[in-house]
Amino acid sequence: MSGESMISCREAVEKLWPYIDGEVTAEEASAIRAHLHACGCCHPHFDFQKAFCNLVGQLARSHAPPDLRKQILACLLAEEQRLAEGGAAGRERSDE
Amino acid sequence: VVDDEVAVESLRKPGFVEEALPWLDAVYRFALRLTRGNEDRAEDLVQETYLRAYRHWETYTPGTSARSWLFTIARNAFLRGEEQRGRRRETLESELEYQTEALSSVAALDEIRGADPERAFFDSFVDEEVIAAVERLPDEFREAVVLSDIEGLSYAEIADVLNVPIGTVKSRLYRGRRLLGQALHEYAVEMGYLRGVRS
Repeated sequence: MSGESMISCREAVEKLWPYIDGEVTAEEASAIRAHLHACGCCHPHFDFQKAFCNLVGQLARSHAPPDLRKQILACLLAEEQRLAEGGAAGRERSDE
Repeated sequence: VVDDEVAVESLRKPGFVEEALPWLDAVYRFALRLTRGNEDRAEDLVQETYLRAYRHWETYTPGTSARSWLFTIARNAFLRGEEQRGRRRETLESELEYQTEALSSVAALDEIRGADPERAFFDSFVDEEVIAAVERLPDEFREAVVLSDIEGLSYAEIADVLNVPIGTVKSRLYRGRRLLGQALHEYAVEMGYLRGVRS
C-alpha cells in the first residue's frame, strides 16, 4: 500500500478517461489528482480530454422538434384506446 | 391535433408519463446519431421506441434508469430496421486488437494538443462540424461516444444498452474518442484553423 500517489505517467494517462468519466475508485482518483498536480507533462492531456468532452457534450443541447412530442402523444393515445377496447391483447407480443 | 394535457392524462400506465416522457430529447438525439442525422428516420424511430416502451412498460423496473431502458429499445428497433433494410451490420473485429491499440494511442492526442496549447482548437468548431465528425464514426464507436459524451451514461449503463461487457465499452469509447479527435484535427487543418504538423 506504500507510495499510492507515485503512479507513472503512463498509468496516469491510461486512466485519464475513466477518471474524467468518474469511473475510477476514490483511491485511484486521488492518485491521479496527485500525479496531475505534480506532473507538467500529464496535465495538458487532462486539459485536452476535458475540453474534448465539453465540446462533444455541448451537442446535448439540441432538442427534439416540438411536433414530435405531439405525434408521440397522439400515437400513445391511440394505443391506449386500443388497449381500452381490448383489441391489442394478442397483437405485437413478439416485438420486444 | 392532440391536446398535450388531455393526452398525458389519458395515458394510464403508472409512472410512464413521469419517467419515460422526460427523456424524449435524449432519445431523439440518440436516434439522430443512430440514423446518421436522418431526421425523418430519427422521428419515426423515436415514435416506435415510445410505442414499444408503452406496450412493454410492465417490464421496466421502477427506480432503474428509464433513459437506458429507452435507449436499449431504440437501438434494438433501429437494428431490426437495419436488418429489414438488408443492411446487416458488419461483425465486430477483435476487441483485443482495439485494446492493444488503445494503449499505445496517446501520441495521437499529443499531436493535437501540441498544435494548439490555448485550446482555440476546440473553440473553432461549430456544432454541425462536430456532429458530422461524430456521424462518420463507425457504428460501434459512435454509439459508445454518443452515450457517454453526449448523454452522460455510465460505463455500466452503456454496457446494458449495447449488451456488451464493460471492458468492451471502455475500449470502444477510447478508440471512438481517438478517432473523433483525429477527425476534428484533420478538419481543422483542412479549414485552415490549424497548421498541419506533418513530420
